[in-house]
Amino acid sequence: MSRSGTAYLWGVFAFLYLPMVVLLAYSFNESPYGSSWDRLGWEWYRRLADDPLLIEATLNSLMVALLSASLATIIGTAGAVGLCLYAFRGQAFFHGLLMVTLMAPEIVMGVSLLVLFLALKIPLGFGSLLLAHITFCLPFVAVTVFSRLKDFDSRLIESARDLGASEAQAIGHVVLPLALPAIGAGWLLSFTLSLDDVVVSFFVTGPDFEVLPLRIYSMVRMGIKPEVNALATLLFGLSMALVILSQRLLGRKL
Amino acid sequence: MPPPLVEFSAVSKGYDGKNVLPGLDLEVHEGEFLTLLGPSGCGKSTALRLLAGFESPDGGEIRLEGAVINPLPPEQRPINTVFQSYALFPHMTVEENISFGLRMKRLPSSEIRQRVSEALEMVRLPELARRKPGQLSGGQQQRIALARALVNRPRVLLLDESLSALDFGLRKAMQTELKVLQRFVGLTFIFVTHDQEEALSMSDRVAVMRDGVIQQIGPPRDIYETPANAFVARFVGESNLLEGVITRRLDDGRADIAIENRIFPLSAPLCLSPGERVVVLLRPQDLQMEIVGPKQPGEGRLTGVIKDRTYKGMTLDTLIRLDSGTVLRASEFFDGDDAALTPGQRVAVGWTPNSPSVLPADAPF
Amino acid sequence: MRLSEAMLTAGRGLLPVWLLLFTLVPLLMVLAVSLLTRDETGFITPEVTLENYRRLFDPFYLKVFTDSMAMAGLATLLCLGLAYPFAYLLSRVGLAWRGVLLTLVIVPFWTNSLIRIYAIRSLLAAKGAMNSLLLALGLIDEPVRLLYSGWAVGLGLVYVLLPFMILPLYSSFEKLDRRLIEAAADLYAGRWAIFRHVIVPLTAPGIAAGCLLVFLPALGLFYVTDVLGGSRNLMIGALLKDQFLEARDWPFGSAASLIVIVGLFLLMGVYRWAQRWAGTGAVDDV
Repeated sequence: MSRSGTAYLWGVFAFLYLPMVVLLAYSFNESPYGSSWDRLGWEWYRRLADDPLLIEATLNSLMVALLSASLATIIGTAGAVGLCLYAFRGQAFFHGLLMVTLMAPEIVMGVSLLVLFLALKIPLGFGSLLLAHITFCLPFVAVTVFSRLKDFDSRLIESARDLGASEAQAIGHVVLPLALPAIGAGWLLSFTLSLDDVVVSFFVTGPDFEVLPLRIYSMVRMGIKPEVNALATLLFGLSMALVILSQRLLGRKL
Repeated sequence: MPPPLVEFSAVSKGYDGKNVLPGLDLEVHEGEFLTLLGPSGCGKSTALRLLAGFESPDGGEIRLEGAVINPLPPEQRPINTVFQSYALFPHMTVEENISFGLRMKRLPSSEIRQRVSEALEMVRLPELARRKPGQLSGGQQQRIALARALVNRPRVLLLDESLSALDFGLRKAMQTELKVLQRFVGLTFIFVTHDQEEALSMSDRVAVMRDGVIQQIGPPRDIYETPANAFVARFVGESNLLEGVITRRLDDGRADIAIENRIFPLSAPLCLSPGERVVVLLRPQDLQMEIVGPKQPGEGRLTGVIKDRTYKGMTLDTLIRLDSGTVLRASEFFDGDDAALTPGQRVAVGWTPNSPSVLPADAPF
Repeated sequence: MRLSEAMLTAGRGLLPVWLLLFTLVPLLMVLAVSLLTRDETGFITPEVTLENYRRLFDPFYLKVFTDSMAMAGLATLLCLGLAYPFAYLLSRVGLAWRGVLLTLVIVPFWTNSLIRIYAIRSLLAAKGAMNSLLLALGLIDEPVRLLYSGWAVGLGLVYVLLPFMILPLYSSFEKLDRRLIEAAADLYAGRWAIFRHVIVPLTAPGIAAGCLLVFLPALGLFYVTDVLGGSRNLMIGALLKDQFLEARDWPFGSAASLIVIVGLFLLMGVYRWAQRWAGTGAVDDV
């Protein structure tokens, strides 16, 4: 590759990462307005641990993320297996619907689910939030698992059946083990999406159930607070760890 | 005498420190069908890519009609390629694919239409003009790829393993078609393949390559009947190769050669002198068998026991285990009533006069 | 084994049912609500009207729509301009390094965009890193206001959405058969002709998917204007938030959100068309 090509690649990476790196650096700067760099330390991280609203929002978020990722993984995996292995009426229609759900911007999903929940008289809070998060995680799991299933030889299932396995046994012993890395990666992505979502949550949660991204939103709206730097650094580190784990699962070279 | 149409002189090329072509010399003449034949990794495709301009040589010169073309990019060379997997543009119709080169040369659209329809006629697929490549069979794609290259009337047409993606029957049909087409348009074809039968049946000349070096170049018949060395012999056609040593030179161009503990006087190249190790090539169809008793020596011939007989339609193949343990393959035309030989019988194996070739034992396998 | 059997049988049907109930039905309900009348007490009354659509053409709202579309369009073009050469170069990096670089692209994709917007805000703040840098370089004498402008919002959108443009483009470039480029060169195409006739058509699905994944969210990310632009630059996302959660005018909010929904279906149509044009089939994960 030419030298200018390499420079361009690194330039774009610098654009993507520099603001985050600056944030990370500020999170260790203890002087209040970040104007000088004479005191470095963990002060802002300590303050995070003393914020009861933040702790509660974090616990809420973790609970929703764990549940919605797990349920979306189960439904999405089963759905991908069904979509891949069986022909049924309206298959193309459901595939299209899956794509709509995958590509729909969050604002559309937030607005339309709000309308649905109020029409069905589902109270806004933990339950509505969980249903919404499962909905936007589902297509990511289904597509990840589906593209993995599409890659392997359909004769593997036929040979399992030929060797005496029932349909369910063939799926349990052959299909699911092969798809397991993709299922794991789908779960990780769902967990992250749920933990990060602002827009949909903003529409469908109630006043009694605050989640972490919304807590951050109100902190940010009130102006720059050094604690947010620390929180952002922690979440950025978590995302990086989850991405690396997921890339390992999908067998892409790191 | 005019210069050769294409000339490689001392052309070298390496990738990642591996020298694929150490220094290739090759001349191709106007109107010729030349085939580069060899196993994968022998440098034949690299030679083709250098000529097309997709790679540039590390050293040496490539000439077209006497002019050096090393610095020319592919789009400025009057040379076209039929790719191994055809490389048809999936987003263009057949017509758009074929006209692509002409459009790039900005020919008037009336002429483009004219030449595209001629090209479609030539490959006998005018009804497919508006299809996309994804809707064509392998054989149809092959012919469209050929039309897309030929429509430009290149000075040289390069074919890179262009038939290997087709199944057996279609490949046979395309071989004939391609040869007829080449005679018809009078173009120079350079064909790359690893299939020796394809090479022998289609070409005016064949160059057998190994590790970037041409082992032998010549008409198919020469390659088959008088291979230059054991590598060529083994790669081209079925062969039995027996190791031997020259014991004595005779006056008539022959030499006494010790094979399988016996001495045979065979014609051998004069460069081979007594004491030298050689390889004797016996083609399966040149061998003749005769039943002999258990103690009979089988004069001037090799002796062994029949292991297996296989009916192959046109021919009947016999495997013979010689007394030394070496296995020979013999092949005779099947004539229906020749069932006298059965496995377990002891036979003497002879050959038609002058059929064995004696080759230097240079190339280890 | 028993459990997985039951799970699979139930689960196979569950995904289609879920999609019907939580994607299709809500979208149809938004469409229905947009045709009804606002009610002060119970949100809506079943009185069919086109009044909500007429109000979309009110000059105030019309300006919001055209401004946000212009902003989102600009962000999309900037992302495309930055990401197209980037994705091409990335697809040409040796395999050993490409995995690492690809991971570096995916990390921002998986990071909370609110936090990434906040990073831009703190960079541009009056006492932020950018002003400190400019002061230190002597280019300015006192901090300048970089936030609360259309430029800040545009920068924020590009920053947050760039990975969503890079990934589908990269996937198109990765699939691009190198031999097609050689074939074009063999057929006398120069660099520009190869780009126009081969590379662009074959990466069209990536371009379409990338534009979809940047343009529509750019219309809806209400917190970007909130954090970087103050309240002066009203965008569709912020308008929807106000209509649904504060003004509680659902029929009008629904009519306005149909702009985004129609955009979604239009762009998905463009994407399908681009796929057929490029002669490729199935959809990839992003």
